[in-house]
Amino acid sequence: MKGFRQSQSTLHTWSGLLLGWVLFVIFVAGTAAYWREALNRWMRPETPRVERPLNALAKAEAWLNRRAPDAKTWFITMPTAEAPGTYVFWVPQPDPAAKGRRHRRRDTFALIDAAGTPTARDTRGGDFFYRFHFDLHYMPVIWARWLVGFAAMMMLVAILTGIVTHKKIFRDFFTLRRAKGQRSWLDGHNAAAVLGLPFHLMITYTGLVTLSAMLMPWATIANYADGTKMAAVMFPSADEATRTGTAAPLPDLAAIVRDGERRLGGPVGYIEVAEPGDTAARVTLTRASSISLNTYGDRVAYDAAGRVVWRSPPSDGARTTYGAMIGLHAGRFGDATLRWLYFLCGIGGTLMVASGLVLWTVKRRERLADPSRPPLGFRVVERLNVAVVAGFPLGCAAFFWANRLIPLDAPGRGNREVAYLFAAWGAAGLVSLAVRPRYGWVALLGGTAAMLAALVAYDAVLLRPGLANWIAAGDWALASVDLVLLALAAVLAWTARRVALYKPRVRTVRAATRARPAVLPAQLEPAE
Amino acid sequence: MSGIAGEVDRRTAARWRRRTDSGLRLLAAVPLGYAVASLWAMALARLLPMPAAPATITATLIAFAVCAAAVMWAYAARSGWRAVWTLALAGGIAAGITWASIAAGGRL
Repeated sequence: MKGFRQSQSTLHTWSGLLLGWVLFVIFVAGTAAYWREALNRWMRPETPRVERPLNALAKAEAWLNRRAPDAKTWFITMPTAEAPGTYVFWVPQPDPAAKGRRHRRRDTFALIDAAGTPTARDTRGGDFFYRFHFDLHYMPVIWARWLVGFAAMMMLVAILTGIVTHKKIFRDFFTLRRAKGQRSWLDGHNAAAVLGLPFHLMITYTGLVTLSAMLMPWATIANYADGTKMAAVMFPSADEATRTGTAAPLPDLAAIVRDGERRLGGPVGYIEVAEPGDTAARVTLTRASSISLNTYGDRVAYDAAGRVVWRSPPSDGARTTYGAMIGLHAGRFGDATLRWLYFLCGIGGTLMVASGLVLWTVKRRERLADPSRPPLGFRVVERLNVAVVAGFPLGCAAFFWANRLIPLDAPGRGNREVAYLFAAWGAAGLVSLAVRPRYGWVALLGGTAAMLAALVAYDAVLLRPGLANWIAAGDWALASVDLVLLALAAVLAWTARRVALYKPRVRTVRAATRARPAVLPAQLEPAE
Repeated sequence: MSGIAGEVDRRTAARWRRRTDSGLRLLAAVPLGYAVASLWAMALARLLPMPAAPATITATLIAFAVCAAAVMWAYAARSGWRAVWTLALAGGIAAGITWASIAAGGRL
């Protein structure tokens, strides 16, 4: 048993370290993405609230009818009070002349506010964190997803080997030895890991499942020569509508949605209109994933006259399990309370990864032959920890500031916000490489705390409508964003202060009491 | 003098043995671990006693656990060689099952 535990401890250390930095940013982005819609609204503060969703839907439909009356398909996300408006996306009629050229999604996408006009502020909003969580940025999406999938598998391995390595899982659960150097970091890492263990296991496994079509297509290949047959089982839809060329008035979407909610037994999440304005028009409704653990809602299709022409077949147990695993990961089924719980668990996971990364250096520092001159590998890890764990949050703070300060009419505004995130993160990375890690931690954590606190002050005093209006109107989704940022600023400032005031204990005392010869670097190699 | 030289040789040899062992375990964990999970996903998709679609989904869901177990085994095995050949054997069995099943029953 000892040999097994030892081997798994080595695996835990190295799988955790090598992918730890990627996992940290994935965890931060995923945790922020639980407030995706709240951030989508918060980053468009001038956008009015959606008071009556059906009314907003009718206005979005009218806008689409002006902008893309002859599109092949409209995709509409049903507006809710949580969202800044109606997300619409359309696919133009196939153009034989443009065959082979790829259609660019951003030209056929819009966010229509409750008043019926596209939102003024071009921003990625909370969607940035959602996409970054699995698509990263500045790299092809497929590469990013394989990297994220690989990191998730290493995370699963790190969690399982962490459990194996952990000898006294229940006793240590109640143990937190403070101010004891490595022992305290280990206790902190264990507390973050064990407290959230069910969440960490669930979120990692279900995360792999969300990418399974790409990561693990082999079962499908084993059973299907034609993969589209499997896709038809996973995503059933009515037969494709064929355009007749005879114009017909648009179906009344609000009336269809009201009817669909009754038939689907819950709110409608997505509306797909094929061949709008044609007698062959077809409207397909999908039940919102807010009502059920299964992320794949039942569907119903209507013809141009508003008659039901198709219903999705009942889901079998395996597909429901699969949909529920994705639902568990995204947490869309939850109300505000559950969302807070998800958010706190996400923070726990972030702390688990961060404390594990720091623990790697703390543990090795105590065994260094000459702590004043650590080997190169050690110094690289130590500084990369600063660059990622303290640097990425600073980049996010810059992203929020860019959202507030870039003028509304600046061209390419949304992309510039994202560019500021990476520019600030890059600058933070340079700082962490240039100065001693201890100063790096203090500068970056303190800097992020100052930026976030100043941002909340800006929202309270200068932004109109801003924090004061949200609190007065009882708009707690928006006010909470500022309050959470303020709390984060306080925690980061406290941490920076602790690091600044920290006095390492003198090592020679320990070495003397142990009366043991200095450890040779060669003996350090199998460090665990 | 030859005693010291012998000692250095012995140390170099031991270091190379360690490196080979690490390399083999990495080979067993990453490419082989994924291959074993993929092949067992195929074999389970063919073997599970349910219709094709649910069998496919169930096999896919199980495959990630197989992958994690294979990675853990790559480091738990007594030696790197043992990790490689046991995982190759596990993958080979799944490949055989899949091949025989498709040859006999075809695909959809």
